Amino acid sequence: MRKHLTVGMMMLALFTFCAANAFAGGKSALDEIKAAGVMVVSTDANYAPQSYLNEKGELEGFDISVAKEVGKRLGVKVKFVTPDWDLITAGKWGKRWDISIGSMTPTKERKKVLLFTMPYYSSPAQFAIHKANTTIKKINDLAGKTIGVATETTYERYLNHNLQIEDVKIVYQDWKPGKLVTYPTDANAIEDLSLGDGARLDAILSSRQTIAEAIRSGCGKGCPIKMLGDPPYYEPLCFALDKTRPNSESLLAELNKIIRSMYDDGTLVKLSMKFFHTNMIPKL
Amino acid sequence: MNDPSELPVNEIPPEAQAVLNSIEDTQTRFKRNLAFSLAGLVVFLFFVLYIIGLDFRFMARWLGFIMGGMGYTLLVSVLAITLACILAVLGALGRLSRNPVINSLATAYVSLIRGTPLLVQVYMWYLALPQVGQALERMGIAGAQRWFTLPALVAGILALGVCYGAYMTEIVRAGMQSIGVGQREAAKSLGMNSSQMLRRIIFPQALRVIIPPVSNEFIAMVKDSSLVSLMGVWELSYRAIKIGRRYFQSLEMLVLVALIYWVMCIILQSVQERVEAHMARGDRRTH
Repeated sequence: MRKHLTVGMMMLALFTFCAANAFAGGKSALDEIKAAGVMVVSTDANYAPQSYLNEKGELEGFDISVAKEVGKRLGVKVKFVTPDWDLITAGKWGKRWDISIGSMTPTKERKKVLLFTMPYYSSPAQFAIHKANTTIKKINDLAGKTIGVATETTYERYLNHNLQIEDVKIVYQDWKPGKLVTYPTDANAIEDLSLGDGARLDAILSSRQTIAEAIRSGCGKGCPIKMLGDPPYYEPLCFALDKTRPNSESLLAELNKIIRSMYDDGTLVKLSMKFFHTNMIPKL
Repeated sequence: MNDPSELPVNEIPPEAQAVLNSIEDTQTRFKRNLAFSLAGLVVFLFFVLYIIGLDFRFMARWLGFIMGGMGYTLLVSVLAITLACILAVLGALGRLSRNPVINSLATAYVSLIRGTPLLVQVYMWYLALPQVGQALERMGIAGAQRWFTLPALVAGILALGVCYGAYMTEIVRAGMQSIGVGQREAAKSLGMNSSQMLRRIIFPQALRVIIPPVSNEFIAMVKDSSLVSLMGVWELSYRAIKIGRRYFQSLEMLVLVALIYWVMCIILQSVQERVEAHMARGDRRTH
């Protein structure tokens, strides 16, 4: 008899809990964040100078500073989580985090599972080769060469002629790489290129700011690589929200308003100068 | 003559003494040479690390930060092995059960989990479960999604514990089956019921057989705990990989974190040897 009573009590508790949850279900994402007082931001700490671990092992970078500023303007605290990049782009976050502030390009595929804000800056793609190389003088010389890229990036898609970004016209190269080597992240490709000219790679395609950071401070004493040619394309970069989370429209509108205010008062330009040492913020 | 006190106790014939001495000599020589060659290997290893031009100052600078991840690594490993032990005992009882439903459950668990890669299972716990919750919620169970959306740490511990539980089920089952039929018969004839028999006769004896392979699994798990870094838990390997990528010096950080894991496993191995010696003190004589 006592057993039945215990089971009954547990069921009752469960139902009460479920009912309480059902009431919370109708709230908008913006209200939920404001009620919690905390906005959980996902960032992939693999990308200096956007998001990386500083001298003290704390998160730092352009994206981190932008996220903190957004939190301030929204009136909530910011908490960072650092899942793998693939887990962020996969969508269906299940409220583990509220937003991705991680220099994400709004590609057509990602738009199927994510919602994007207006761009907060734009990033030039950039080819780079080993410093010792003398035969590759222009981008066209890369035909048939071995090129390294990070997996699931716009760079990989660009070289595979499979990149679609809304409102951006992409002009593909009229040559094909001999072999495409993919890495978990851009830093691995840069390290492999630094091993020696043609040792594993002849060239890489990454973002201009990542390559500039590697040349400035990477590989112990500056990676032995150099930039090649002009950027083949520029990509707009946005915050992303989970498309499967209900009632996200007001949050998206609020974020767009905040981004616009950060353009207007020069905050974005200031942060760009601090972390990229150049202005990456387009004119509105 | 039958009185044992009349036997010469301390007098070993000189021939026998010579043989004993030579055995002892061989043993000490072997021990000494073993120590020498191990030391030689370690020196060689560091020589190799030196000539490939590793940046040791960079490694030393980040050692403290990376060691900060030790807590998570140990937490995940200890909780996961605890879960695995519980699942292994339940699984083994299930595998030996005469009840077809329980037996098939246990067999399916072992087969499914052992037959799929741990990496895939980690993603399943993290990515697939929230969608199960969502589906349940759509079927009308409010709050299901929140329950099924596990935080990274919990998902990692469950993934590791459930996976290793399946492997250890077989270890425990084999350990229990290694106890002779005579022991069961003796227990039954003393009037013990089956739970008493398990607790008093089978488990204590099986434990001795089970301990070495289980410690083996624990050592393997300490290293597999690095898989939770995928979900953003800042344990040892997460920290090493991120710092390596930040400064484009991944090799240094990988070597460093490999050495840390190695030292941890050496310590665990010595603990295992002690526990094993303690458990086996009944039937292993060290004269």
